[in-house]
Amino acid sequence: MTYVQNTDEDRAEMLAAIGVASVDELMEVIPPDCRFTGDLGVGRGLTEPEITRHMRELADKNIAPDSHPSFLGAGAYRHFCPSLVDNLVARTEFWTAYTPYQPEASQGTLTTIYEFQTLICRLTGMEVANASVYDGATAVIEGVMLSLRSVRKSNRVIASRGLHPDTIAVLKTYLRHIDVELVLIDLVDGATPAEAVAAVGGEGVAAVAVQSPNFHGVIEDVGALSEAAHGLGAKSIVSVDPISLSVMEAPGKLGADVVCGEGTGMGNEPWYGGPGFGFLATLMENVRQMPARIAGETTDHDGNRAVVLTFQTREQHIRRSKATSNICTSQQLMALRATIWASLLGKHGFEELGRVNLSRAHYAADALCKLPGFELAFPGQGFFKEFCLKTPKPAAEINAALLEQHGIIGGFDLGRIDPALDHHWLVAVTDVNDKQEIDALVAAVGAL
Amino acid sequence: MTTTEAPTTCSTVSAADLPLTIFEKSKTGRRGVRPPPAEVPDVDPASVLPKHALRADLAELPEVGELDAMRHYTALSTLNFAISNAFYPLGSCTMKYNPLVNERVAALPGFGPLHPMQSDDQAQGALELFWRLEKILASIAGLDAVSLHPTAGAHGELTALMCMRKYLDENGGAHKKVILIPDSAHGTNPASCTMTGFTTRELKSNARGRVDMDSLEAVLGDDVAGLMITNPSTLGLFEPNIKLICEKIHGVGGLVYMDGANMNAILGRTRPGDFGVDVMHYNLHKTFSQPHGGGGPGAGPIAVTSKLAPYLPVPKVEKDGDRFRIVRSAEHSIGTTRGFLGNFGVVVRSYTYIRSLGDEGLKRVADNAVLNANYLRAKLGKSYRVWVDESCMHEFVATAKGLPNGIKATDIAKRLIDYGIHPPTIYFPLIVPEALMVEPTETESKETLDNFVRAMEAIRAECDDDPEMLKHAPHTRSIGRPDEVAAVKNPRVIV
Repeated sequence: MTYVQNTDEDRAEMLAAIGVASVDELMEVIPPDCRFTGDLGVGRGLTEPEITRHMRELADKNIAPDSHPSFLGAGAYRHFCPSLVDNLVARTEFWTAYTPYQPEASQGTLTTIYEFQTLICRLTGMEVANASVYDGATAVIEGVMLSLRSVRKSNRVIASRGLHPDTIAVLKTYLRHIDVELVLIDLVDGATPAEAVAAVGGEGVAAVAVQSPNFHGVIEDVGALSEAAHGLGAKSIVSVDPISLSVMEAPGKLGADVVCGEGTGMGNEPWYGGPGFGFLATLMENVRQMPARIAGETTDHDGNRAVVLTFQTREQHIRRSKATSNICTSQQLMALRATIWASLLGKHGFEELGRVNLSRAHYAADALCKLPGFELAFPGQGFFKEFCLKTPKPAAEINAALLEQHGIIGGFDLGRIDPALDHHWLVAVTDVNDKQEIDALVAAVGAL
Repeated sequence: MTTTEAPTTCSTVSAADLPLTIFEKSKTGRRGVRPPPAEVPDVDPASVLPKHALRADLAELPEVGELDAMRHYTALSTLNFAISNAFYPLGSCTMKYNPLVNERVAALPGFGPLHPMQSDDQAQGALELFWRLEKILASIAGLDAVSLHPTAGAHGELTALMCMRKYLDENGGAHKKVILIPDSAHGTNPASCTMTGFTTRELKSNARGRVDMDSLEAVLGDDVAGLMITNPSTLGLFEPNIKLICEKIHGVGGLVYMDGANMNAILGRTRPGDFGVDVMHYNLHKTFSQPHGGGGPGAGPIAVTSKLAPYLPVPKVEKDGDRFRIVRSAEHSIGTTRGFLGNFGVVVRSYTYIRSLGDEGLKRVADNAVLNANYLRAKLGKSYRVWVDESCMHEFVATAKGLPNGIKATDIAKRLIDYGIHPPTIYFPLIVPEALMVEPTETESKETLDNFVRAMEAIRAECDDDPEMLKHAPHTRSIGRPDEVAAVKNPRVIV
């Protein structure tokens, strides 16, 4: 295959215009001892039918939740997505456009970013959101770095062990390079104790980062944790599942300074981990410490309403080594999917969707807990769409048997994170798991 | 395509035409798409959630019908320039054709729904794709190992700098803190250094836009951890002394990082590993046709020599016989820099693209990217000053400095929009005043390039004949030049 359109005749005319005899002559700017004349080992180019067949063979080696009922969550969730989302995002004017640095040629994308920011702020109770960040894990570290810039002389960060394990891993990696101490708070009965946060004490704490519902599905007391953070002079960072905000309080109303999370479940497939998108929202007092793109409304010289990228002096292309972040690429197309998704569900549809998740998850939990040896790991704690069960045999064995005998992809085996938790099973139930699937799961687990 | 005369009058926009956001089109009681019924007993949140977690007020999402939502977003899309409707000679961004076969393949049901927490056994096809693309990217780079973990070019920089830090720390270079960066570099380079605890020292370019070797000598020292260099540079120039530069950095115990944003120019013609680079990143959304999506997603894989390979991030993919598995911890690894393995959907598209082209096709990319850029340089050089007017690679930089009547680069850029052409990158690289950075890519036809040249020549004439009209361009879009100062002074960042 080639996507080059130049013909031999074109090439000859172009070379003549340049005044050289061949493309090789143009390539002579590469010094002789740097030139490569070998074979890259990619092989011959494949035509469309050939590459399609090859890729189908690879796709068929995956066992995807599309063809198998799945109760796997642990930070990535599938939800119903209206067909119109696919149709609209398939418009080439969206997916083949560049970053909207030229506002007159990009009002479409800019307006959707403005809408996305509004969506995120209305869900989270914040005042400003950016155009998206890489994912949920990097959203938390960006929130932490925002806090390190905002809180004077800070060099410590407190984080709950209820954060997604990848988020904790990312915090460790980033913070090591800027000499910031990371203090991890253990969970008690599945939740982060606010007293333990307060007890850290001392000076220089930039932020307290928690996740709610946390990695074990447990709903944290965001208000108490934010108060504990503020007691230390720190910012309260709350990572949330945006879909939980259909029925759960906006963290902004509970004292959070930064609300962030993985937004992929809104209108996007999990894609084996990416591309999805992260979101990051905060209060206006922190806007100049925000990383990444922000769209804002203004007018043109005739007074027409217009949307532009704003507060650009924060960004790397202007501030270079003094920028708030090195981020340049956003996850624009995924954020656009989320914006259209949320608009189509609307105020009431979004709440209904949340209640479907809540209801089905509780139905499934109740039914599974009636099976001998199964019980909620944290019976006193609330959950939204995912819950942790104690199991009578290792979760890994249950999962293997479910897939082999029933074609069901089971919940997450927490033993993969911590061998001591090998009898703990994290089960996610969303609107894509209908009653028939849930009943089949319960029956299958009961028959093991 | 044939238009070389652009309209100069703005269509009248009345107040009623002002584009409203979807939130402002909301009407109480209107419904769009409905979620499925619960089918199980409805659970009242108040009965199962802690009181403090109960939402008091529903989020004010829009209440719109499906048809109006369709029209709203369709209308918005038409306000965009995109590869599908306009030539995009946007320097440094490699706005090439995004093949549709990539999209069709990515839509296979075995890809999108695949869950990142599934066991390796259930994701053999995905892991094989990661592994295959890693091998190809290593070969193109002439380097030994690749990580597809980083999410974007700047994220690749960050991840790679962390690998460099750890390698130096464990090999007697803990005192090395300085990264040298040419003054023509992308802004992400110094920003990434700051985020990884390095300090930066700027390297001056010489009059020909290359690294000034005296300037390099002057800053070399034992504190130098490495060099971040873009080659070909942001001026579209191949660095003739690249081998010597790499040797000098190695001579003080430093590492050479290459920003691979401009790999499109050299695919199969030269390999960074062969001229002394230790570590580099790719932008799959530039070189390997992942669509830009209005700003993302992308992916920024890094390639390294064998001595840096142990430091690559986890998770990473390994081949074990004929099976593939994820390695989640490794003794020397820097750790994790994002959630999950990587941007798999981007891997699918770029792998499809590379296999579609094959060895010969990849070389054809480089050859025609360089041919198209030089053709434009030769043609445009007659009406505009090219900053370093010698054989370029995939792009070149012209300047609007010295144009009559106070015409700026931004005026040229805005006026091009009226001719249906996306502006070049402007005011970058910073070392060229009033820069107009032009990258046509290999996928544009000669007719498109000629049309661009005619438009630029027409605009050059307008600089003399109608400068005021130019200063108020564009005249043909839904908006004229927006007031960006007001957007900061009176911020309105949500509806």
